[in-house]
Amino acid sequence: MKLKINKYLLPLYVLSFCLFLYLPIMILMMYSFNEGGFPAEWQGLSLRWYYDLFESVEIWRAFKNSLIVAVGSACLSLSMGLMLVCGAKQLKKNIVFFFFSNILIPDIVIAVGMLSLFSYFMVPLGLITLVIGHTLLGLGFTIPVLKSRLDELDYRLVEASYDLGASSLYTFRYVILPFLYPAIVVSALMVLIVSFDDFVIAFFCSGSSAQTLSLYVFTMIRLGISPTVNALSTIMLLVSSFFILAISILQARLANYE
Amino acid sequence: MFDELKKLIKSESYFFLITPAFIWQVAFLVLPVLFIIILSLSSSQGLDLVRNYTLHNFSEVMSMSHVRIVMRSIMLASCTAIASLLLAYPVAYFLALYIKRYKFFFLFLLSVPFLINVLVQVYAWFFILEKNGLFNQVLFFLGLIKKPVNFLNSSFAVYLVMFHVYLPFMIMPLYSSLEKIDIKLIEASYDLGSSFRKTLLHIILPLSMPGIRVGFFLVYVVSFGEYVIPSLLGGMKLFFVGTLISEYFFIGKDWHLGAAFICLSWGMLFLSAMMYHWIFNKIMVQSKIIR
Amino acid sequence: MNKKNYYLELFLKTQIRLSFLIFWSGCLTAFVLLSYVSQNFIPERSLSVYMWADKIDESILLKFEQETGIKIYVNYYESNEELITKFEVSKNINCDVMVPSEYIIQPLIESGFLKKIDKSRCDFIDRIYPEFMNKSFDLNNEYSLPIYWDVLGLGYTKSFFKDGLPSNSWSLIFDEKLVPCKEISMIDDSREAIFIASKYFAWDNKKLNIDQLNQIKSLFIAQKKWVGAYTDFQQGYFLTSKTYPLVVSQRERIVREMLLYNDLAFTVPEEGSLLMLSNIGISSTSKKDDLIYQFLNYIYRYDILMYNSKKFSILPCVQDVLEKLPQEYIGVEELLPGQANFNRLEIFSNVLTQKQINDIWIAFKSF
Repeated sequence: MKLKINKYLLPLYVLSFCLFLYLPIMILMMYSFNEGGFPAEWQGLSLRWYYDLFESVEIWRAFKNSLIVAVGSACLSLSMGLMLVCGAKQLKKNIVFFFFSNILIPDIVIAVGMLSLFSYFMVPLGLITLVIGHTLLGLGFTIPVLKSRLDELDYRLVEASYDLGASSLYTFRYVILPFLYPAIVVSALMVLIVSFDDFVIAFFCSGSSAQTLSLYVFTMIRLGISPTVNALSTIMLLVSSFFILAISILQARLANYE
Repeated sequence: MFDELKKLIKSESYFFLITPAFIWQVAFLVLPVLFIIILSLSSSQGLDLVRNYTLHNFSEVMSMSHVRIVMRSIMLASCTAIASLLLAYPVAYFLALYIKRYKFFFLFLLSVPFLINVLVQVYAWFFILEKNGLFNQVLFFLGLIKKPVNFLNSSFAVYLVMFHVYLPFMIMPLYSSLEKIDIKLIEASYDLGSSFRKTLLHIILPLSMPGIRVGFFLVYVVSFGEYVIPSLLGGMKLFFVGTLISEYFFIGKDWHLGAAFICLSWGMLFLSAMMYHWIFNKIMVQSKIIR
Repeated sequence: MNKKNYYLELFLKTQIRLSFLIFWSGCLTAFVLLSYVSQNFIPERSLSVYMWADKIDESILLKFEQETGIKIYVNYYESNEELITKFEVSKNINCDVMVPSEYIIQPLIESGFLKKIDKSRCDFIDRIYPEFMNKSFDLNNEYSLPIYWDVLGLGYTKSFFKDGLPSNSWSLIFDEKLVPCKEISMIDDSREAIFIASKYFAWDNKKLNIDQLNQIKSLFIAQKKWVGAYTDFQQGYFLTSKTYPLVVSQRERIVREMLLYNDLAFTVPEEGSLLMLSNIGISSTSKKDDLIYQFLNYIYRYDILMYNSKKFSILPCVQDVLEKLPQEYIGVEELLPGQANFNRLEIFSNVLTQKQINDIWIAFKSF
């Protein structure tokens, strides 16, 4: 008897744990299909709020801004991260530790510091300053991921390529880069997600001329509850899950190769 | 001559590659943090933010009300970290040592909440906590309450949602350190006749200590500066570190005091982190003695 | 010889590294300077307007563009402090027209961000109520013209207070013995809260000394026991969802919900309340005077003002529009200039420094 309970205790616990984690989101998604506004009871299935969502000019503008910032910061942090990791390889010292602070230092300190810095140097706050902030965060993600992948590279392949007469650029393009592809994709996706989800840096460093999706959701929450935000949240959720699925599959594939 | 120059440049090529990221880091991380420190030490008006060096700001900020706010945030961060540690550990154990198949599936399941927008999660909790929401309906159904209770705009809501949001942060480090444990050690322990409890206390727990520390400090430090959750769910009744900083910088317009407050709160955070570090060390030593 | 070579090599190495550094720093600066560039792509026939998020309807701006061909770019801000910070941060900000609240006009004038308004080019001046003109913050309305106004008061649900509110006074929210329900919601704005506290104590709010400020601070701390939440936005939601039956709010937020729910009501307490004015101001950096005055005359026009006022339940300062506005959009009896409730309203001049306000607010919220 005791054994039987013990056997099912842990899985049951994990199940209820998962339920707790997913509870608010499931309710959110449920209400996004609700016909009535909030706070109403279930009034029937409807895609009404999704239609409203697609017609709203504000949301598209916010989405466009978020997209520009996300893609911009992903490109920047990827390229700089790649350069750093390749350059650091020749240095034989571990400078990657220097970049861990990007994620550890709370974003509110970074955001406030950047705000003061930009104000002092009279840089107008907007999309560019946002990109700068998100790139900083992105560097903290791309560098560790790229570094750990590059460490797995058997350096003899690179040496062989040099021995066969290839130039550095050629070696980079045809030996190192293909090996890094999975890590590049993973870190790019991570930076995209982090940039889309970021709120604090956008709140402090973009004023209100550059409205991003998170800022828009924040304003709507403060004004009260609107079901269009539910529809928006559901979509954001599905997109994030899709990205994470892609990351997980890629990492599983990476593990399989070894 | 030219050839030698070319060779020299080539040997320095790594410097060329690592410079941009470093410049970025210095310009946008180190400089802002330095700037905050300088701001806190100066006190002039308008845009000449860095004149008139003075310690006046710090004396202002060391008042009881500010310290109380920092203590409140420390309390919140500690509760969140400890609670999520206790509740996430069994789940990490399950992931790493219990299931053999479907690991990928469960990992995916547990990573999705991690990367969902904080605002979306807070918004979702509105639906559950408000007067006609799930909590009230369930409690009413179970007959525990007669009238709907207002869960929103309370410390309860803040603590609950903080705990919910930071739970996934704790799972990952715990999982990765539990995974690294050599399963042969555990098997050996069982073979030698230990019960599950003994194995857990003496083998698994100490070996997973690195993961516990990383997870705990990650959640502790990050939840200390949290702005969104206290501001949206606390009804703005109490100031936490994050909300106060935002108040200073956006509404109070006193950037010097705000910067000084940031220095104060992070100083206190650092001190409390040291204290926790010491406590962890003590526990480690104790467990070794028991063994 | 070796040493010489060694130093030469070192020198060259440092030179190379320095040139790399300069190259990358140059790239970085160019990137940062990009943010200035985006400001220069503004079409000639356009105006940049800084407004509150819920004070102007996009369709009005589109109509203006159709009528005159001038495109309007709207920037929103959440608070007046944010507006003045924006101006302080970038001297060449792209702004033509702004709509600040009355208490920020004085700082804006002193910092030189506002340009004098040429009243001869405005055809709506005579239509504005004299009660809103020539206020203390801009004595001859040289720099600002009032467009919308609002009051602070108490919102409540009629079903909870079946016999009406026990009394029409601020003591309902400040006096522990007189609070009629378990929890209320209070405004989150420090200035406004201090004003109504001074009204409750029946002090002259143009002269508040240290003792009085300390008393106000203790009042706020004591009040915390029965305040459920501090908010400037959610009062309507609190009433309609029956979270709190009594809220302190701007009239505008309550009336917006009143139009949909019969159960709500709003009242201006007897001790008096705060008059809030939104004013038009022209930015000193702007050079598009013709377009600006066209725009101003447009938004003060009868049909436009009436449409906007009805859409957002805000009160215009223009006589012909306000008199014709249906009562349900006003929400309170006797509120028009000259009538009983209006005479109790006052503007809160900037007698307190930001520091004094901050001290009170932070001290009581840290408890």
